[in-house]
Amino acid sequence: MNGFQLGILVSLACYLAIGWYAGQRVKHLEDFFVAGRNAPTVLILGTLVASFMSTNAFIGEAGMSYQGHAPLVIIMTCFNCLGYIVGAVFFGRYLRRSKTLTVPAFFRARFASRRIQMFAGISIVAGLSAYLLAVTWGMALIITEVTGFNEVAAILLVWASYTLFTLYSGSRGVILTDTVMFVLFSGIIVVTCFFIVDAAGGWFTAIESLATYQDKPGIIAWHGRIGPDVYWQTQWEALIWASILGVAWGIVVAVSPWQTSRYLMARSEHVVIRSACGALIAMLLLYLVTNFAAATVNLINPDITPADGTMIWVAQNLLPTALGAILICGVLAAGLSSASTFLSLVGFSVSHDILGEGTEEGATAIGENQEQLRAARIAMLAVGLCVIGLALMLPRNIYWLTQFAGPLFASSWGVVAFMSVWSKRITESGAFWGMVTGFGVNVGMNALSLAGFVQWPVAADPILVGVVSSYIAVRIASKTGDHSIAASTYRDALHQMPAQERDPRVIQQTLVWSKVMVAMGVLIALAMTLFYALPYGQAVAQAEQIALGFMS
Amino acid sequence: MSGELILALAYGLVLVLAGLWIGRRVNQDYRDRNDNDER
Repeated sequence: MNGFQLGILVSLACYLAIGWYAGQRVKHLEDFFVAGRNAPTVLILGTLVASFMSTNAFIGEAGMSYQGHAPLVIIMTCFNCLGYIVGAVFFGRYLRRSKTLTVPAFFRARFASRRIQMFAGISIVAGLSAYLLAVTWGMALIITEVTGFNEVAAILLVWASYTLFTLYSGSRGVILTDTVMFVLFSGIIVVTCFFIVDAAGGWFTAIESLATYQDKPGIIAWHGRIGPDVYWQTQWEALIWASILGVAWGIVVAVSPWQTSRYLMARSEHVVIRSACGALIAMLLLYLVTNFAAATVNLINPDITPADGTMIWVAQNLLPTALGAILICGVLAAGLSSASTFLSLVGFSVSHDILGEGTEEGATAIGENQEQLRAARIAMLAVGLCVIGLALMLPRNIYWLTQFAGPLFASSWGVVAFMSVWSKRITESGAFWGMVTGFGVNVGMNALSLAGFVQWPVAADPILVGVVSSYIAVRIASKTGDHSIAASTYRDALHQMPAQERDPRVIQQTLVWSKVMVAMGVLIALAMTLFYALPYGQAVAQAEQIALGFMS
Repeated sequence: MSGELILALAYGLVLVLAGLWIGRRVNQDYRDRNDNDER
């Protein structure tokens, strides 16, 4: 057994042990669905980042940076991470205040509508099962690559590892393992960055070499590589592309179920706000380190093919074996944490929102509670079995599934989620048709693109067209539908501030996070100026002078 | 001012502005005696 195989098996065993420990504390439905609504900031922060960053961050996006587009990934991150703050303040804390078990159950309570809960539940099953499939394939691909296991064995290993602990421990286990995985992949990517920069001749040498890199000109210029060889012809095209996709993914971060459902587990509204602040800081730092590191790998090996394998190449060829194995485990951890979150949410939706009663009132008796707990576990196992069946039978299409599944919720839920809290005019009918329209437009446009009938321009991205269509549908349908008294009363109740949230000591602690953000922002701006912008400018000017000298 | 310098400053500015805004919002929502936080 080689070091990589051993590392993977040990890390999987650790996650199972943590899941087992957490599972023993699951007594009620609330423990299983929302971790007893008692999670502190560190666990919500860990699960927010871990469930968002899947293998795609270390494989797909790192590959994109290796090809010369790290600055675009960085610009996108600027926009999409703001979704944490906007989402927490304008939706997340009200979702927590609702004390429902799932996000679709919140929509039901807000609009007094079973059909909205059913539709939201179905969209979770469709979108997150597809995402789960993509992540399962991604992880199996890495395991196949580094261990030599065959693909079927790798798929089974991955599936069994995330299914077992999620099935037994539910959200209690998921947030604990997510946080451990977040610490693991964050720590190892920072260590990896040091090794990459060292192998490239040190920080300033690396910046100078990349600034004048002939094979991929503009690799770390603010717009990345542009020109006839790549998708973006001009720097403004690149900027517009990154900004539009950044905003679109920002909506995903703000309202998607695999992010906002984490807030249902928070101990208080202050935990919601603090964890969103922490997630913003962590994501900005992680993306900066990961993508600049991936671009720097060009100076060590410019011929990695496919580019998606950049981090795997680093693990196998640049790092000492033990650290390489930990890096692979870190990348897998990013995938496993997302997979466990997706599996748990799909299971909850099937058992609670689609097949179950869908209300929290029915779960008061102990026997009934246990029965619902069993139903949720059976639903999760059934979903897991379907996913593994599909993973073994279907042809692999990781990129498309990821691009389809994540943004689906921005189009379908984005407008309705925010209006459910902030609009008095939205009716049940408006909310339902808004969701259906956003979902339909997004899926329809993606299907046309996948079939090769049309190539959508970036300004008509299916995510954004879906959002706009959803808003128009809400406005039109809300004109015809009635405002129910139950829905209006529920909305008013959402805006009543719970007295326990006004503790001055707790408010002071939350304000510390805003000060940390300001301080970190100043530090990052200063560090990027001194260690990136200025040396880059000097290197380019020097290269231009040399070129002029030659010409004269 | 170069594009790289603007990128460096903007990346930090995102955090600074978000931090200032969230601080103001927390003060406004949780310290105000009005029980209804809709504004």
